[in-house]
Amino acid sequence: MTELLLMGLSVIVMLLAGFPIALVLGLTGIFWTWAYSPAYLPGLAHTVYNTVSSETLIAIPLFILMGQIVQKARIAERFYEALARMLVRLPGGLLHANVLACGIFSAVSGSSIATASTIATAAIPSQRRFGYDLRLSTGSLAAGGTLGILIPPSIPLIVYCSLVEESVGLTFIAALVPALMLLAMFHGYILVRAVANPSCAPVPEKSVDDDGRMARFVRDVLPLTVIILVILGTIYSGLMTASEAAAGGVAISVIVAAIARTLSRELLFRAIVESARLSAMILFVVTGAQLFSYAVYTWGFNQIIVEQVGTLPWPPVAILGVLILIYLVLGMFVDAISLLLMTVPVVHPVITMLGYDPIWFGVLLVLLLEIGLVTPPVGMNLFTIKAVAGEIPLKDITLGSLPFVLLLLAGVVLLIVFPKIALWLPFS
Amino acid sequence: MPSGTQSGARKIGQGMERLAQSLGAFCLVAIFFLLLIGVVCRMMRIEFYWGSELSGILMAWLTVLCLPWLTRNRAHLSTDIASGTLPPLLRRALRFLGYILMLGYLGVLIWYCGDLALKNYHSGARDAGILRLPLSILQFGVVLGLALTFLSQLRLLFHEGERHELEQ
Repeated sequence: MTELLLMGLSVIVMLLAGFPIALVLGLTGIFWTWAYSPAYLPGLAHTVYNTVSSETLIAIPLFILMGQIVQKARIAERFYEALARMLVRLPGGLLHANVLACGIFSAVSGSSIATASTIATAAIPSQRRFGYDLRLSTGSLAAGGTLGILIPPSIPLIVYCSLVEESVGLTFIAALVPALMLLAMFHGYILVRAVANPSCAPVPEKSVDDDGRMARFVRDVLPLTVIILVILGTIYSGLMTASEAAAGGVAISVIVAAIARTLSRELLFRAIVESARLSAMILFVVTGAQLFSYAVYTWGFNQIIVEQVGTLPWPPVAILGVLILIYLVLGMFVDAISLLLMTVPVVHPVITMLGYDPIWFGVLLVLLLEIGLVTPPVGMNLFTIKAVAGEIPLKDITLGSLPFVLLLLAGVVLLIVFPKIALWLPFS
Repeated sequence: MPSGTQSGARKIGQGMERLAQSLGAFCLVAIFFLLLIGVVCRMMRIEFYWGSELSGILMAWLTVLCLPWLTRNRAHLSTDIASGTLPPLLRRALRFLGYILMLGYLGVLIWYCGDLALKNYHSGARDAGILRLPLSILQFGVVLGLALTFLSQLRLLFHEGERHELEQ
């Protein structure tokens, strides 16, 4: 137990020192493997090779590439503008467009930061012009972006599945209903706020222009919708694996960008290079996490934790509650993927010992990671919106996000009380 | 080190990082085509079962070949929540320590991965997939990428040291 605490402490100290997360996890793994027995060190090489060539993780670079193409080809901005034109006259008008566009685009891009910056750049000027409550407006943008790591295809879910050896396809399908539920809750909240206080989202007297409105709406909304539907449809029908669906998504995004006449050789080149860099960044961290797991399993820490937790006179839901609290606190300081990689090797055996479904837990975990994206002090989405929104104080953006954080927490409670929300679709 | 040699070494280093990154990007494109061809072939009932197997190897190379650029540009994922509040001198000391630890980490990886690759090369071990490719093909590529990353980290350390000397 002392070794376990020291191992945890070494991770925390190096993390606080600002060292790269891949280094923190990997070096901790190597040191503790050596401390157990240097004879186990050659096993690290197998771990490295198996991780970097893992067929489960192949989807990550391709989903990143798809998101880069969609973002750089301005497909997301057009999508937002089309939604905004269509929804502007509803109570809460453009705020609905914020949430929907963020949710859908972040699902395609796989990056909350890319989403928040892309959609906020298009959204904030018009909302400022129409006199929207900017606290609510920026809050909805920051919160909307968080949905992307839950809405499939989700990179954190792929990483989770690679760590716990679960089916990526089934986990994607399990995440779909909770994601739609949260989307509905966000829209419901905006509607209630706008009806109760119409000045927070004033409806313009006249729409910008009505000529050919439907045709333009279809033209601008269709591309992203088709990409999402093809990916989910092919995975759900069993026609393609997650990696193949990702390759299909890249092909469609190239075609869509070509049709929109925003495709260029330079754009493609930049998207490919940027995607390769981002993929390497993530996969290097995953490799470090697997070395960390190797040390955890070598020492048998997973067994020790499971045994210790098993002796607690608490019901499983209370232990789950403690884990959730730990995730909420850690999520305030550590970014989503790093937190997932650092904790899953230790937490997953406990969850299965308690009798919870690992696929359900994967969805719940990503939901908890979402909350970390909009809670200070390290809420990446809050910083991104602040960077785009300029003079709007960070405090206002944070306060604007608060109601959405409460909705996300309500989503966590619903998922615990009704696990079928996540599990009925994949197992129906 | 004389400045001519220094600038030559810098140019070689930059060229090496750019080349490795371009190869990594090429691997990404190849993965895309392999998987897409696999889907098309399956629809046309043509046997093409090794696409994902080869994609795994390409992904391994993609990862390690892009690492030198990430290392050189200090683009690795990290959190500065506590270190960002420290005085500049302490921050710099921690950065140096981070570079040295990274060198140590990469060194250990190169040592053990290289050892396994050599053993597999000599024994002629092959993977269990359809292609039955020699394991050392994947593994030497990974070792090469890690070695290039080690050099980039070393360059970063020297560069930081030079800057520190100039500032003093």
